[in-house]
Amino acid sequence: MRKTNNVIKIKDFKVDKGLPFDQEYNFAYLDENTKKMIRRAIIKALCIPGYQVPFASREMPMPYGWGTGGVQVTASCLTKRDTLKIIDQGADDTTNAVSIRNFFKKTSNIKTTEITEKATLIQTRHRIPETPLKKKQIFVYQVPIPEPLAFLEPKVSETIKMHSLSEYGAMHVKLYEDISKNGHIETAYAYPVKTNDRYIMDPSPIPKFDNPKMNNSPAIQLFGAGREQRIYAIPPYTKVKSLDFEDYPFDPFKAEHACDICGSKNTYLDEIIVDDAGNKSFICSDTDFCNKRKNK
Amino acid sequence: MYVAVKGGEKAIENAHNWLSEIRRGDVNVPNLEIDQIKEQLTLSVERVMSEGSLYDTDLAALAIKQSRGDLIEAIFLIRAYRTTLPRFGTSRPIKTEDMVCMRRISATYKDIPGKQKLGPTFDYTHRLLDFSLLAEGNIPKAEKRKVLKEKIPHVLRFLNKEGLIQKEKNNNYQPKDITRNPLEFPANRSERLQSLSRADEGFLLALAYSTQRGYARNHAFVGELRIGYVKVKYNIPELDIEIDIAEIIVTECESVNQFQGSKKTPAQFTRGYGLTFGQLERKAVSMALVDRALRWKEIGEEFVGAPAQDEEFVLSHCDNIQATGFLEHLKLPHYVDFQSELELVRRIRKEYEKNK
Amino acid sequence: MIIPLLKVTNLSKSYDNIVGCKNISMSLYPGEVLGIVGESGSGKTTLINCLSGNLEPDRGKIIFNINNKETDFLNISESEKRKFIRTDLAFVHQNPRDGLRLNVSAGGNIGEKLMSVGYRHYGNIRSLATKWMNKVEIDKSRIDDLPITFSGGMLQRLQIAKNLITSPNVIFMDEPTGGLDVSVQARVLDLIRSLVNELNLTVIIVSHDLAVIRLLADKMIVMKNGTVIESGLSDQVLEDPQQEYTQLLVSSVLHV
Repeated sequence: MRKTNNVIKIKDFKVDKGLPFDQEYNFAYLDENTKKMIRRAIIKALCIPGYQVPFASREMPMPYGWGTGGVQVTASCLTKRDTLKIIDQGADDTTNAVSIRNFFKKTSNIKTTEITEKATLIQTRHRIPETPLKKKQIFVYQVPIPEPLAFLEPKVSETIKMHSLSEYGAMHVKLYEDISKNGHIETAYAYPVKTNDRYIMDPSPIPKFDNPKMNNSPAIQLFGAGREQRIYAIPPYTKVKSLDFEDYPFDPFKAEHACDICGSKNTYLDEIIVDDAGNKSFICSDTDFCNKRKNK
Repeated sequence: MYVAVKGGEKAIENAHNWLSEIRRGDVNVPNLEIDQIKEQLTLSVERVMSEGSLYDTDLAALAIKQSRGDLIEAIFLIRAYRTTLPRFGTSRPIKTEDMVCMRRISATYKDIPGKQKLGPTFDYTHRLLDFSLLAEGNIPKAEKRKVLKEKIPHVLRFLNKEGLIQKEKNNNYQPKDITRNPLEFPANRSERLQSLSRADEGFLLALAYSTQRGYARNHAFVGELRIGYVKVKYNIPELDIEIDIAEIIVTECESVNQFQGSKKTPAQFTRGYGLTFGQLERKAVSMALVDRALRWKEIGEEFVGAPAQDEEFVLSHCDNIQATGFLEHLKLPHYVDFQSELELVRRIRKEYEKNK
Repeated sequence: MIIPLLKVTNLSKSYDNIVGCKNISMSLYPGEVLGIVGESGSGKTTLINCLSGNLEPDRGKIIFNINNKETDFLNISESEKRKFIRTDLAFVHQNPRDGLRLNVSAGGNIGEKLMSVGYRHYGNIRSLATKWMNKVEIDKSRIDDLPITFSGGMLQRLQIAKNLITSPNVIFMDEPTGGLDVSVQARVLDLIRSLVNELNLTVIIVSHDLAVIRLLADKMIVMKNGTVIESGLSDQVLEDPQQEYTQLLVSSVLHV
């Protein structure tokens, strides 16, 4: 390659032995302009519950599909006074939760906790904690596919029109077909909801057991989809109703077992295979709740 | 009694340590130098810069070393790094007509002003593994000649003069940076070209190939392929002087495609455009073909349902960082969702048995 | 004075230099069935596609007046137009596969329009769908079957049920029996006729077949080369055609 001499080096790059995190980053990684852009999207989203606001998602140090939307929303809301809880599949200790928590610790030196009541900001993947959320808590969901109509219509240019005209007939056709084939609606997680009697929304892949927790919650619920570049929100005390038919009402069922550790009958359970014979054990997916109950 | 498993944090730490070791490999083998990668794996470096949307050969080489040669992983590193860089301005559009060409060919004419310059290409090599590369060898020196100072005009200009090829209109449109604004559909040509330039090479190659095989078939000719050095000029706002801030290598391809005409407008050739960092011919030509396929509406062509014509399909799936992120996220725990599916299936089957 | 449900003024649409339809004007009153007859290339399909919103005309006016509300069809926003088409109009395609969801059961297809206007009771939707299957003479046991298992005639009857269930204000039919066997056509035509009478529907029906027009339409227009060459009450036009072309058409219909 030809060497060029008449180049003004704007940035002096040194091959450092240290990891990128040794360099100076802004609080919570994102620069202030990016945070401003995201906050504007969040405010817009809160004003129109369930409506997907496009935003210019940034490439983050973790891959698209691994929570970059949630991370960007969290990073934009985080202040030095916050206490952060990160969960994945309901647990604080799963690999992705650990990875994201470490990311925020490194880039913001923030206080973290595993106790739901102590957190001011919670980021989650695929579950809502059993402990009810409180006023002034911010709850951030990681969303893979923000579009509830995506499986009916992959084109965004078309689904935008369907949402703006409330053309949701096809959605109910799908539910009708489920019932006519199986006697049940076939959706077990990411069960679509209608927000504030207007927009149909995908609540992220939480089990349908968790859907009722979204309704009339005192907390602020924010949803971030990084790869699809969308943010949406549910402001506090908003009506969130799972789609159903009057004579086939929404049924948030779960496994008919009690937790083998704490004995709870009303919490969502993980099924564990404990030996080669295929014997099973059921334990609470929400590790914080299970610990608290066990220690009482 | 079952005891909940813990230790995710330690497991990750151990995994990272092992990764570090295996990335280095056998310590008796010399460490890979960044310069070696820059000099001898140049095309990898250039692909990483192109799809990473960041021109910096040192960083790209480092990314390739860190990623153990996985180019998409390297592109990811560059993209993530790019996010942290402050943006202080926008350069002038580069002038490829002023390019100092290493390579410049046209398939549409036998001879052209500026001549056909083959340059350092694999095109005419015989693909026989060269075992002499296993040992240190003396490389024959290439013959040197003086570089002609005059500008080499674009071939398509000549077709333009006769009015035979569709004119690219200058509509004074201010392009919106797709890394700063969410992409929405329908997209305009600027947004399409930006997306295609950083798109996955394999994906574009397949789409371009499909157009040649009949999925929106459109006879394409390489009107011009030029590869060489262009200056990047920047106007310093406070001083209002224009300076050269860099000199980069780019590949530019202009394709000449099947003509269109109707009773109202006489027949004209149509065109496609490809541009990448570095010497990435396959990518630039593929990009030109796909660009042309996506222009069907403005040209008045029919939408035949070919994947390469479907703007939303192409642009939503061409970014390999988005694609790999979402694909690989399947490796993350999904047991909560799976559990709810298990319960539903069990229930449905129970009722089926009951009603039998 | 009754205001027409639909008033069309000087409607024109061409494709490059080929004329689709030119300067078409007509009126339609509630409860009327208008037949548009002509050979292929006459412009009748262009006309019905413009009226139903499937095509954008070059010039002219289309004014709907429904329940004392006027809609200037060509001058409303795209979203208003889409909404209007969804709630007030219906279109029965020549090929029923164009008007049905092939991966959705018969019941789902018929029920979709109900669900899109807010019906939320599965049992009610299903019983209404069943009622309509009876009306169009499809065995109600087939309510959960996919359209791929239906014959051509059944598909067309299914499409009709799907379109009529919400009593749309104007129904467009484009050669509704065009793709069917002669033996099956009669049954479908008879069904359409009885439904139109029973529900007092307002219909615009396009056909190249005069027999269809004679059976169903109160009034008719004859198109040739994109323009209307004759119009009037069906009985009059068919008994006493004035234009040479119309006379030719009428005389070529086999009187059985």
